[in-house]
Amino acid sequence: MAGQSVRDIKTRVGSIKNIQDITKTMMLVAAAKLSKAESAITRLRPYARRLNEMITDIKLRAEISHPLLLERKVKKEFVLVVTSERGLCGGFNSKIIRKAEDYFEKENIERRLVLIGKKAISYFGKVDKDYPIVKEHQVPDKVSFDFAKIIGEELVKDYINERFDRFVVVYNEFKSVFRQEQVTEQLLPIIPKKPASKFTADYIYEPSATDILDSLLPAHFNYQIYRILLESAAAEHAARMTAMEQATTNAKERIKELILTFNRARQASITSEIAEIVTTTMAL
Amino acid sequence: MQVEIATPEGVLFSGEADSVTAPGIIGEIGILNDHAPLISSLSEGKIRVDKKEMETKTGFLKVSDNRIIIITEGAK
Repeated sequence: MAGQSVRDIKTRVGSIKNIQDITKTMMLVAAAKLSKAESAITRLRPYARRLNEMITDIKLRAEISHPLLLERKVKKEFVLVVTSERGLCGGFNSKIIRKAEDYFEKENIERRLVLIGKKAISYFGKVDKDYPIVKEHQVPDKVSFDFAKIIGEELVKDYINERFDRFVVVYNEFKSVFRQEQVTEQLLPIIPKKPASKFTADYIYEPSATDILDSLLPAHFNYQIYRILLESAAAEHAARMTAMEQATTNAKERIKELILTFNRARQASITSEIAEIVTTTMAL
Repeated sequence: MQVEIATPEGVLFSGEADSVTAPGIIGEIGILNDHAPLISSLSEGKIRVDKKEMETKTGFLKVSDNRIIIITEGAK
């Protein structure tokens, strides 16, 4: 730091202050978006609970097999990797990509990728990657159920047509503001939850138990996709918030250091000026 | 009767009501107190809870023990 002019240091402090302003704003924006995403997750819960109840209700009373519940021999699988559109969110994207790579290494089978988010698309889109991409989606600014439904319906159709035998999702789960967990989850075939043994009167079905289940199960799959997109969005904003908070603190530290050197440099120049004046007067 | 209408984007209605009509897939369903247990698919249309009307997308309806639960993909 020695030998730096007072003006140089001043400019550097100025530019770090600008960076600090940006990171601080990004942090605040991420915090606002996080609370929105969290409330979307909360609003989804009643629907999820009722949907699961209905599926259990029907399965408890009728022995029905359905293609979405049926396990086939896995020859080919589709993997959905969910990342974000933008960076500056700590290890959010790199961790999930690593998690996906780890998962791929465990089992060597034919695999196709469904990607969500620019980060996954640019990583897995490279020529040297092993698995072909079947579908790419951008993360919309606001994740809606309709968006999830478009993705879900297409996948259900492909699964029923046996274009793949297993569907796995790799995504960031939102645990808390400070913790995002990278998870791998199988969504197809649907693994039925153990039903509670509470058994009340039988139901009248309109049109029939099979027909209702026929539309309930795809609805359940769409719900899962929607939930995963919301989780990932919340996790992204949380990660960005923490990363930007850290960056803001770092900038603050840096400014403190620079101001110290600035003062030192200023003092040095004053001292030398005084010394000069004194020597000149003595010479006179 | 207890009525709850839930969508992925939030609960549309939750509370007490005396009558509910919903667009069942094979015809309109009217529900009053002490209706027999029922599970039905719903098509797009109007759900009426007492005098309140809601346009909804496809969904499902369940009645048991004077509790009506409707899940639908959303309001229109």
